[in-house]
Amino acid sequence: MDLSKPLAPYDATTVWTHREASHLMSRAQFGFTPAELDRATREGMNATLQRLTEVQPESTDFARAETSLRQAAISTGSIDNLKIWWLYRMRYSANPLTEKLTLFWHNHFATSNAKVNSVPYMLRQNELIRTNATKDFKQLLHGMSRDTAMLIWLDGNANRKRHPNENFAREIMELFALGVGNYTEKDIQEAARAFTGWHVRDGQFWMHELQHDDSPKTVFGKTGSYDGNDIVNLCLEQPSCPRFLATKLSKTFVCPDPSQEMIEQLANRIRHHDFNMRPVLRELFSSKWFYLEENRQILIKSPLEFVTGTLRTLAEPIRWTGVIKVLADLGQNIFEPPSVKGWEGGRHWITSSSILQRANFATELTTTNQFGPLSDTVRQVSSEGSEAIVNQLGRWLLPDRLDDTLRQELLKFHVSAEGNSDQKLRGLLQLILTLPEFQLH
Amino acid sequence: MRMTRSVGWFFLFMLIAFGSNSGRAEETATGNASLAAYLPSGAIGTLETAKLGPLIERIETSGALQMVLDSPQWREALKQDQVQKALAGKALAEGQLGMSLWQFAKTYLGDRMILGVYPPSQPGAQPDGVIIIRVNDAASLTRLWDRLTPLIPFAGDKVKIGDNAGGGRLITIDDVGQVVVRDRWIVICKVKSLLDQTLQNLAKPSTANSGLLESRAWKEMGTQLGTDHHIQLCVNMAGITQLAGHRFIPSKMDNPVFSLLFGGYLELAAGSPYLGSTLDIHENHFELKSTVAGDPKQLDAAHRPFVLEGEPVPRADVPSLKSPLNGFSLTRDFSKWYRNREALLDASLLPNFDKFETGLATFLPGRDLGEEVLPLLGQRLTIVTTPQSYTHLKGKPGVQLPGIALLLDLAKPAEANDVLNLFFQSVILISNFQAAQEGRQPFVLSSEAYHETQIAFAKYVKQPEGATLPISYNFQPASARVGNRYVFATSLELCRELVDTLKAEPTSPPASLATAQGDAVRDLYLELSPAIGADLLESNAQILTAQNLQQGKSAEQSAQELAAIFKILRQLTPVTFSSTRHADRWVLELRGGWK
Repeated sequence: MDLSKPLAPYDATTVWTHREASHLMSRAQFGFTPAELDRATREGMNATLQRLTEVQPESTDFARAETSLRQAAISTGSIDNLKIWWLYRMRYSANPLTEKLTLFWHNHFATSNAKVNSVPYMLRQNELIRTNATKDFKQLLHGMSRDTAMLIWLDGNANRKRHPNENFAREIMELFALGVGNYTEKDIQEAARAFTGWHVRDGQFWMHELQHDDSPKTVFGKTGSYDGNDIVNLCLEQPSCPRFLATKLSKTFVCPDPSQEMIEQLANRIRHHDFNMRPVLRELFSSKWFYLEENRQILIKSPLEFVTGTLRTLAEPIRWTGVIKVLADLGQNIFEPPSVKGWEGGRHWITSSSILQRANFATELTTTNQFGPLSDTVRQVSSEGSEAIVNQLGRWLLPDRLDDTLRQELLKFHVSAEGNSDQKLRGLLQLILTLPEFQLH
Repeated sequence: MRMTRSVGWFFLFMLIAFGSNSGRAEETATGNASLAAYLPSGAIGTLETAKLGPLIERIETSGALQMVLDSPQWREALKQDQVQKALAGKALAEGQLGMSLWQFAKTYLGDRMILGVYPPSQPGAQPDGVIIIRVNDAASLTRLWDRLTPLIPFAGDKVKIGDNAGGGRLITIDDVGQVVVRDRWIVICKVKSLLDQTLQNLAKPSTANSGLLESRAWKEMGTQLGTDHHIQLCVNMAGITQLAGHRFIPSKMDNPVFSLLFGGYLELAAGSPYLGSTLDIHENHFELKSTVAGDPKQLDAAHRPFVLEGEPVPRADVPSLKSPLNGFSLTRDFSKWYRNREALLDASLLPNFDKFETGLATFLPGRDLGEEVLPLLGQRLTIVTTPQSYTHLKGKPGVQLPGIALLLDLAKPAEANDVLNLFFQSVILISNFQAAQEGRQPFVLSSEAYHETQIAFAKYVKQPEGATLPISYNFQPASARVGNRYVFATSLELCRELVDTLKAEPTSPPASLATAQGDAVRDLYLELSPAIGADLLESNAQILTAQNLQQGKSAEQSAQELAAIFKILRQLTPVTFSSTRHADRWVLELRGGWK
């Protein structure tokens, strides 16, 4: 394997249909609207990727609404309001990949308001992530090591010269940069001393000099009077660091069991781009590997992907207060991950209980206005004939799975369904949303 | 157009209510006298409307109605199916009637109408009723009859039309009742005996007073309230009690706050011959009153806490602030009410008082509320709220709450002052525990001599700074004693203003006191200022917009809706609610107005 070469690029000039476009958009953002799918199909891979990876200006309406929601969260101190603020961003921001990456890093640096208990600190951490989400991982890791919410979450103020607390040192190695097996217990103990005195005062990072141990430490076989910054840099220098990130990126965006070869290749690209994630993601989303048939419809949608993705395609406007509850019920309560390890994801998203709750969501979305009405675009489909309806909904909701057998089943269901055209459309939508195929992307 | 059965029934109703006017024209009853004179005796309640015509005209042409119709909320409501159906029904009705519903209401409901409710003729059945409507002129009934007659066949054979023996038309509807229409009168009744009696009264108005008006309830109500109101309700309390077979109003309340506010009034109502409510709408204000008769001082011992005695009796009143959002004042013997709670409240509530006292022990350690604290307090409690200017902050909270103050009259000022200071300090201490948990700044207790009055207050070590401070920074608790009144305020600014206001109040003779010998003693008073409320809401527009966004509205739509609400609120003048006891009655009154 020649690791100096980029990931082999996908030749979109030969095959670029709504299937490829929907594959890219369902992985790189939280679902898509029918109009977004049409546009991506029409414009092609390069233009779509350009739009996704480059910073797009936000609309005035978005900025106005986002400011109101943000201020409401800060003013009221309500974490639910902050959750709605972020969900609104996921749905309406002109930079959906940034929001997807923000969630990726939120899970990577899992910090919970259950302990931090402060909306302003959680917001500040979220904005630190967003600012660096598609940029320099090194800056993000440095920023996280001084982040107020993170320091509270991992007991930074308890890390003192004579009583080092290993929480942050352990997590930076195990969960944030290297992964298990790439460090020793001694490395953690020594690194913990380097982070002593990294405290919080008046809501800000505070270097408490009197509590900092500036004596020499030996980490990864190197010795020096290291402080926290040095430890972060030492971690970033480890070969396991890009490999660790490559594994996580692959499992989140490509397939649940990536080969060592692909991980090494992606890790090499991370190293090559000096941890700048934007070109890495661009190469990943335009790689042959990403578009392989075997890598399509293979990832289980997380509750956020399932709920907000479905709403993005079908509903407008969205009533957010009900959405945060259903996400919590489904097991993905943003700003409150279950532990420092974040959400396990993958097959853990599907349990006998969560399948039932996903079905309940589908029922409520299609039979009530609890989450908002069906969009005009979707409702207009009901005036078409059964075959056209099945084709249209299949294009939006099952772009990679609508084979002839399933198409015939759906057609049979719609033709034999009772009620008026609107009721028949809703019944068909409900059926599609509960199909096993729809739980994948 | 194919007429549906339901539409047919709708017009049938119109016909029944306002049908033909063939018949005699001997009745000449006019003027403002109550139509109760024509109702048969034995009613347990009446509802009468008078002079609604000019009122409907004013509403129809008012700027306020136009403001509502122009609001984005109304435009949004127009999209709903139910509203669309109602508007379609309205258009259909107006087409058949040949006039707008406004005109219809002015023409046929604009003079006087009365509904009398009677005990059921058979045990277990629904109460019977008699409706008498007097329209403006006989000719208008003829016109309506001509328009609706062609629709009668749609009702099938359930409706029979004939001549009434005493004159006019008799319309009989299966399972519904009978309607007699003659001259300017329409009488609707299910029971023939009541219908005959009503028609007799109409035919011989000179003997009408031998009917309903002979009863004590209507006599007394007429004397105390008059009969010239837009809407007047009379409930015959004795009749209702007799019908129910037991006391109609429970002797014990199931809500302590309700008991504290209205326990005395309701007890008097239970023994009152009537309960009367009137609504009067004037050029730029309205009055809604509810009255019960009797001498409040004759209430039993358990209810004495609601009727203060002695000289002088405090009057429910609120201090005059520069910019009051609302004010509330209540006079009661709180200590006696608390001690009498077993006699005044439902037994299921009593365990909650034990829990309440246990919780209160955190703030007042070693003190018994009923025996040691309440006896120190006086007989008036007042709450005021006003917008804040946040001079103690560098910035403002993102959610701006009004400053709130509780004013307590003190029976033993020196002793009460110590106990209430202890309470104040405990509140600060406990809120500091919460501050530590929430990562906000703790309070430090401080004090100042303000215009020769000592104010204790909480302050922050470091002045909070920020464009959108958390909601908790709305609070800067302060307390002070001014003479025999103690002030708890959530803001130092409000506490200072109250100190100035209370010190400026004359002490002899006290403006806020009324003598027990006087005819009227106000024991409850509430006022709200919609315009100041609008200002406060507007300062929280960002939050209100966020709430609308969370419900799926756009920022633009939200801004338009909020602007409409602020505009409407600013058109309203302060709303007041009061309870006033007189020597022979107790009156609740709601007043409001518009610019």
